[in-house]
Amino acid sequence: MTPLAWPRPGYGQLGRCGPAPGAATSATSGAALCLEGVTVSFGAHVAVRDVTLTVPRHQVTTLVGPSGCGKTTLLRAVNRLHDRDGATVQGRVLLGDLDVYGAGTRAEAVRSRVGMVFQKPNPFPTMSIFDNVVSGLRFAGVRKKPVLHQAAEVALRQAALWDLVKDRLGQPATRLSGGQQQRLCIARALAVGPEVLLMDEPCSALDPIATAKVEQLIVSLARRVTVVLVTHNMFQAARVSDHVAVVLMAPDRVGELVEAGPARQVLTSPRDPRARQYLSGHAG
Amino acid sequence: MVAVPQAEGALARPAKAALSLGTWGDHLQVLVAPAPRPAGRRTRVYGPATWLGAAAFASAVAGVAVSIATGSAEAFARYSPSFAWSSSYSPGTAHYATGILVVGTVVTTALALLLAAPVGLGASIALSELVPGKLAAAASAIIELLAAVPSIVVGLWALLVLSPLFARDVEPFLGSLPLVGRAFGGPAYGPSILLAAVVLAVMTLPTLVALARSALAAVPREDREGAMALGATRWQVVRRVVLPAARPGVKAAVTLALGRVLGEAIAVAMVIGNSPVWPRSLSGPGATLGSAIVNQFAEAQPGLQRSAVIGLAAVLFLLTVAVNVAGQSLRGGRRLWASRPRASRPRASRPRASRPRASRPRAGRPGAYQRGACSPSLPSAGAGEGGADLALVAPPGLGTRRRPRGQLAQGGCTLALVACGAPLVALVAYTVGRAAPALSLGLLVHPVAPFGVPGGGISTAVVGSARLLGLALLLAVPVGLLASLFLYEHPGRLAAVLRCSADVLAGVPSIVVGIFAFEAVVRPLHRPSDLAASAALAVLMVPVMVRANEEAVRSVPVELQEAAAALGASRWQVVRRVVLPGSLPGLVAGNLLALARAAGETAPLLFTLAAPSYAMTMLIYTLGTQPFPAAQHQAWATALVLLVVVLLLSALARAAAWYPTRRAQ
Repeated sequence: MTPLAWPRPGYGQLGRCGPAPGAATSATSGAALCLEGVTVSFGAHVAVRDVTLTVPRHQVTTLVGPSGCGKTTLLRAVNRLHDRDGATVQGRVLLGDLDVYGAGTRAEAVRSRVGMVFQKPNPFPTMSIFDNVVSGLRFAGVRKKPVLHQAAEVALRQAALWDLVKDRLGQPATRLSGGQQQRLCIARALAVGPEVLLMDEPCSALDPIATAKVEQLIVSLARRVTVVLVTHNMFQAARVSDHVAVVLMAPDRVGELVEAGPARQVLTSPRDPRARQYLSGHAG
Repeated sequence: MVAVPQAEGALARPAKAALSLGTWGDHLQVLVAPAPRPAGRRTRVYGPATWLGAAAFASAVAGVAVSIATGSAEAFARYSPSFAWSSSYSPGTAHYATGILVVGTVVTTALALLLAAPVGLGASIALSELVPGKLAAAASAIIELLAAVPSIVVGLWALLVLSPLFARDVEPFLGSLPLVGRAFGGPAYGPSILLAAVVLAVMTLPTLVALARSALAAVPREDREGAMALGATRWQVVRRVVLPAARPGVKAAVTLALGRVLGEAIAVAMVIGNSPVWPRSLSGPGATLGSAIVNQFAEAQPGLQRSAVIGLAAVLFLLTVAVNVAGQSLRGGRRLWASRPRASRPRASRPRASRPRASRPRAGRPGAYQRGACSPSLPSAGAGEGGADLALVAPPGLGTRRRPRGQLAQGGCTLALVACGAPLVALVAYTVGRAAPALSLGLLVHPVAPFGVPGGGISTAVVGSARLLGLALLLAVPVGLLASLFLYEHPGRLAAVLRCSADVLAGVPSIVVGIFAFEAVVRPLHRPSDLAASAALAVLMVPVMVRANEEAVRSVPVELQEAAAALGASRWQVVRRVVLPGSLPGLVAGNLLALARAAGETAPLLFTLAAPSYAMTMLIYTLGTQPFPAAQHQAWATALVLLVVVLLLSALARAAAWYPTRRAQ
């Protein structure tokens, strides 16, 4: 089931992860993303504590856990969305060889390499479908019409939306249905060619049919992009994940990563007793 | 940018056997991220630009305060501190009877509020609670539109139409009444404190009604339905639930209206009679701080005399600031001097049962519940436990009693709505009626003739107003936008201080702003100019724009901004591509409303404009006070043009605010 070798040092364990920054990394294997002792706090309140996690390239890694345990908070730490919401992030996040919170790293540079799909579909209401898809490229300074058009087509095809919208690219994005809007948001995130795609409960606002489509999409996307998915739906985790990381609330109400590993192993025979208790309550 | 086929990753991972990929999974094209650019020029400029806007705004606020302070310093130094309450009037020695003027201001304002507050409150209750939906919406829209009617037009109407009416009928009648009559004794002049108060009341009613109505409408539907479900009549819902809950908002509306009334200068100067004596009769002439400034400033010699007039402005400034600060703290639902937040609904939450009359049940009478008279079909739960089988049965006739008091109050509110709308409709109708015969194409295209020369048109004034407003927009819009973006980007104490000063500046009387422009622009340039007048209008517009803009940009959902940020947009790109487009209707609406307000302003142009024929409002003021029918006709025609322009701007602003709700469908 998993053709790639695990990145050996410290998968889901404390300690250093991945190669040292600056060291040559292979483009196709190894870790796409490393979190190292990441702690996120809102003022005095610690939301997530000391998470160390390696996310393998071109696979689907799913964060599961009860609501409020800090899955989303953790996800938002990856593309520095906490820069503006008053939270502080400690620890290290490595995106390939880029130190996300490094001194000279611009948030925009990180975010143009990391796509994000939010819980609720949020296409820009003032833009057309086309403008939505290419907005990331425009932010990055791409102006050439043919390039934008080709990128839009590829991204929309990848998001399985092309045939639906190819004749009405100029229409407002708000005309689409909820599921279509979410796929548009996925296309929008894909159009910048991200290495990592963060998906924060992308199906929670969708009906079952739309959910099935997005799940299939997630699986097919993992061929070319590393997916980090947040869900509280254990069945969804089982359907789409290659790897699963379990985040639970410690007794002091702080989120902690308790176990991470191959999906089948974590979901069927977790080693950590807390994970076992949680998963048996939800998936069993 | 778009690299085409055969990505490495695509082949490295086999499809899952368990899941069908569907037909769409087969695109092997891969999009490759464009190389991250260094921060663009605009991105680097954005932050400093907002600081610049905030600084420009702060300097305008400081400029107003400082120019008034330095301008009046000489007078205060010479007569300190008695200047603020002196009652001697001798302009030769720079004594302007400040004390009498303050009393005149307070009396006029109080009378105006006494007239406006009950009518305004009644009308807003009628609009929010009694009149059926569509009619209420239409009436509210009209009243809000009429809030833009320039005070100069109200003043013109009062001077030429109401004043003779008051002198002939109203004041003699009031004087002949028993008891009340004493307050209206003496000869009837027409121009009087009473007339000034009526003008102020008419002027302020639309704003008052709009604010009070929104405070009433903000009371949650659940609260009303809760009371209705208990059998409350319509009026009881209003009296016991809606009014107590909306009390802070209504109070704030009244206070803000008070602030506006306090600072009005031009319309009052036209109708109050302008005699700085102790007011003995309400139907006699008086003077207020604002009207005294209007009448004295132009004649005052530079030096001590002018300093004394600016001293009047300083007193007026402090008065309005005090009132507005009080109003703001009320609107926030808290008192500045309260150590802990006050209970939100003191009246409604008080348990009614503690009142003796309600707690003593009397069998057989409406309003009392009977004890133990349980209907036999209902199983009584505690039957065996002797005396515990209590059940409540509504007494016969409950809820069928008629409520004459409620009917009366509802009638009163509806009457208030009529009383509120009638003068405004009359005013507009009269303006149209008087202006129509005078209005012609020739009038619109010909320039204003020199005084004393018959004929001539009003084109100079129309073009002049457009020029002034255009220039003022050029000054105000960038500052307003950048300053509001500064408030948006920098949560913190500095922003809070700026926000508060925007509220204070928005309440500063326009005549005071006119004096600021005189001190800051006219004196350094040694002559009045378009620039000076535009600067004054811009300072009036900016605080309104800042607050409206901030509200608009804050209405853009955070999720959309995060979506853009997650795509790698810089802060400027998020603002430029998401926040500004998303808030465009609100931005346009706010700026247009500010423009409409500035278009109707006269007082700030009084000392700054090179000639009265360079602006419509000034032309109305100058011609309308001439005792020649020809000049008055021209004034009416100008008033109509001004009214049309201002109402159009105001209607455009409402349409802009309404636009997104339409488009969302």
